[in-house]
This record gives sequence, structure tokens and C-alpha cells, in this order.
Amino acid sequence: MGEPDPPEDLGGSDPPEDLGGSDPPEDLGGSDGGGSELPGGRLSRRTLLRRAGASLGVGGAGALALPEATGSHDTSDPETRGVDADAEALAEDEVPYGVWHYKPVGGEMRPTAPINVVFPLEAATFGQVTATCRRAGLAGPPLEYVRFAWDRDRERYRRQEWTAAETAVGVSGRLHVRCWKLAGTASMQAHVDTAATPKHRIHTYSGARDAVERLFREAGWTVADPVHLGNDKVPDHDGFASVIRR
Amino acid sequence: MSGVARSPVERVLATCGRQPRRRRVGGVVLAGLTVLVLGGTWVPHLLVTGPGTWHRVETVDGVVAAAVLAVVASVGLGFVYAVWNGGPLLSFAIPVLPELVGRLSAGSWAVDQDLAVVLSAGAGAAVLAVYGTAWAERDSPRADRYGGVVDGLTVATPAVVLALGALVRLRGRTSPHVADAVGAAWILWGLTAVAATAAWVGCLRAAVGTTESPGDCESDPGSGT
Repeated sequence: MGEPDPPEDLGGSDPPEDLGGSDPPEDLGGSDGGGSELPGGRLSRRTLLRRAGASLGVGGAGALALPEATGSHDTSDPETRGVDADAEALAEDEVPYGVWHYKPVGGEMRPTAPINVVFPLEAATFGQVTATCRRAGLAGPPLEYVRFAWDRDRERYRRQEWTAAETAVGVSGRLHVRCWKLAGTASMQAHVDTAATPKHRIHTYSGARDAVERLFREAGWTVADPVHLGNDKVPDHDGFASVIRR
Repeated sequence: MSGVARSPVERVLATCGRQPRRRRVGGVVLAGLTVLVLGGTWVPHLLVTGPGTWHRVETVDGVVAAAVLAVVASVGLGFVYAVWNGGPLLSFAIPVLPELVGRLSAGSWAVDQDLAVVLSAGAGAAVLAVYGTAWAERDSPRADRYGGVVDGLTVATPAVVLALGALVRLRGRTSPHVADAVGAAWILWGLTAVAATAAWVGCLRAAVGTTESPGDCESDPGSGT
């Protein structure tokens, strides 16, 4: 594993007597930026300063070239919403929106997270929904699981149509949305993931819903009264979905 | 013996780690982590294409979870490699490259909290690798007595500045759900900056000293403070 011990006669780390203790002569002060060495393998102070300056310069140039930050959306202090553990969710066919997103387990679809933001799309397109999210710094597709929603028009499940998140991996937590275009509307499942330690868990549905409302409101959309889907879910989803119109 | 002159190629390789075999292991680990992240990003799109493929979802979820785990693990693995084999370049790349590949696959280039975290971790690992190299080469007759540490610092310092740039870009743009991680990145960056500065000062003081042996810089890069 380590380097072998030096033979005794190689003298270890002691420098030869005549290279040891004198000031570097001025004319050896390093005329180039990298390899001006004094006897004994020492670099002159001037060379060291140049190397340090060059390193700072390269790092500074790189830092200046970094693109703008997207930052994270404010998901703090979500509106307090109670979860009714006995709530009965609407049947998927009762509304044009999705009610849950699903994961296939053992041959059947199991609901795993509630749809909590919907877009009637009377005066907007699905593309405008996704473009608004993109402009707010949500990029995709991130690293994520595949999930499905029920399409009542086609009478089959469909995988997520457009997805995005604040960060690709979510090492430190992220706002994450999945969208489906269903029956002339858009349905969104929005949540905030916990930091990956190593798996993501749900930090909040409610905070994510508020953040999505806010980013659309700032883009000129209107947030109407929420629609009740009855899809309450811990930790903090109250069974309502925000309704956002253009 | 005061050092064996190394070719430019050897000097560059030395910034990836002291021992060739360990460099190869580090390179394989880096490649593996990167492939895992690419797999986690694209396997779901390639393997789950229609109702006939839905039975694959649980397997695909496992690949995605492994990819997330790879990125999280890479943050710590950079430090492990730095202690094990030095090499600031590879120590920096191990936490940064997988996350960078993941974000580019996701079509994201903007600075975000994850990039700031992995850049800070990468910079910390790079500077730790410089100290590890100095410690390991302390008594070795085959060590490049001065250049090893200075070459390492030349690689690690831009990483430290780059991490600062990312953290500064994020100022005022972090929500509480990521505040802990970004706060930890700031603390790590502060420690890293102090260590890097101490190493440079140690080298400079050794360079102008009149009584130190030429090996002083490597033996303790922070001795000048």
C-alpha cells in the first residue's frame, strides 16, 4: 500500500549540505509560471506567488462564468391544512382531472400521491403550463420514479407527461412536479422532497402547492377557489387541488 | 535525496493520486458513479414505454434510487479518496462529475443548491488531498519534494474559488427546505479556504526561509501559519 522504506544510503529527506540553508539567489527567482526550481527541488517565492495568482485567476474566471442561480422556491410556512384520514377520494372518472398518481405494484395500480394542482386550460395550453414552470427554474426530466395517472377519455393509465424539479438529483431537497394532460386539462402532482439520505421522502405537499400557486400568480395566472378531490394524504395534503387559470 | 524530477505527464497524473493502482480504482469508481447517474436518468425512459412494460417499474425505481444514492455517496467518497490516495483532481471530480452529468442530462445548467453543495465538497476533498499528499510524501525519497504540494494547490485553489462563486450566486435564493444543506456547504467552504490559505502560506514561508530544509513545505503545508 505505502511506498517502500528507502534504503539507508539514500539519505532520507535530508538535503545535501550545500543546498540547505541559503537564500535563493535572485536570478533564480522563477522566470516562468510553473517550473522554476531552486536547488533541492524548491520553488522560488516568485514562482509560488505566480502559481497562487494563476490558480486564483483561473478559479475566479470560472466563478464569473457560472450561470445565474435558480435558487429554490419558498415552500416554508405552508397554509395550515388538515388531513382527514377518513376522507373518501372522488372516483377518477368523476372529474376531468387526475385524482392520484399511481405506481404499479404486483400487477395493480396503487395510488401513491395526490394530484394537488389543476389547470382547466380553457384559455391556455399544456405547453404554456410547462413553459411557465421552466421560466421559474424548474428543469427536467430530473432523476425520478415513473408514475401514472388515469386518463378517463382513453380509459387507461398514462405515465407522467412532463416533469421538472429545482435540481436534477435533490441532494439537499427539491420542489418536484409531475404533469399530465387529461381530458383537456392539466393535472399536477407537486411536492417537496426531503434531502436524499439516501432516499427522498415527502417533506410537504402543501408547501409545494403554495409554491406552485405563487410562481403562476407571479407569471400573471389566476388562482381560483380550490376543487375538492378528497385525496387527503399525510403529511399535509387536505384533499383539495389548487385551480389555476390563465 | 531531495526529490526526483517528474515529467509534466507524471505531475498531472500525480494530481489524480499518488499510487497508480489506487488512481485506477478511483477512476473506476468515478466512472461507475457517473454511469449509474446516467442510467437513473435514462433507463426509465428506455424501459418503461407502454402498458406491456409497466411490470418493469419496480426494477426501474431501484435503478433511480441507486443513482440518487450514488450522487449522495460521491459527496463523501471524494474525501475518502483524498485520504486514501491524495490527488486533488480526482478527489474534486468524484463528488462533482456525477451531479454535473445528472444535471446536464436533466437539461439544467443553472447554479442550484445541489451544485453548490457538491462543489464545496469537491473543493474540500481537493484541499484534503493536498494535505494527504504532504503527509504521505513526508519521508519518501521518491517524493517530488516541492512540486507535489504546489501542483496540488494549483489544482485545488480554483476549485475553492469556484465553490465560493456558486455559494455566492445562491445567496438570498435558498428556501428553508434547503437551508441546512447550503449552510453546511458554507461552513465546509470556510474550513477549506482556511486550510488552502495555510498551505500556500506554509509553502511561501518555506520558500523564503533561510534555515528550513527544502522538505518543509511538503512535510506540513500549514506550518507557516
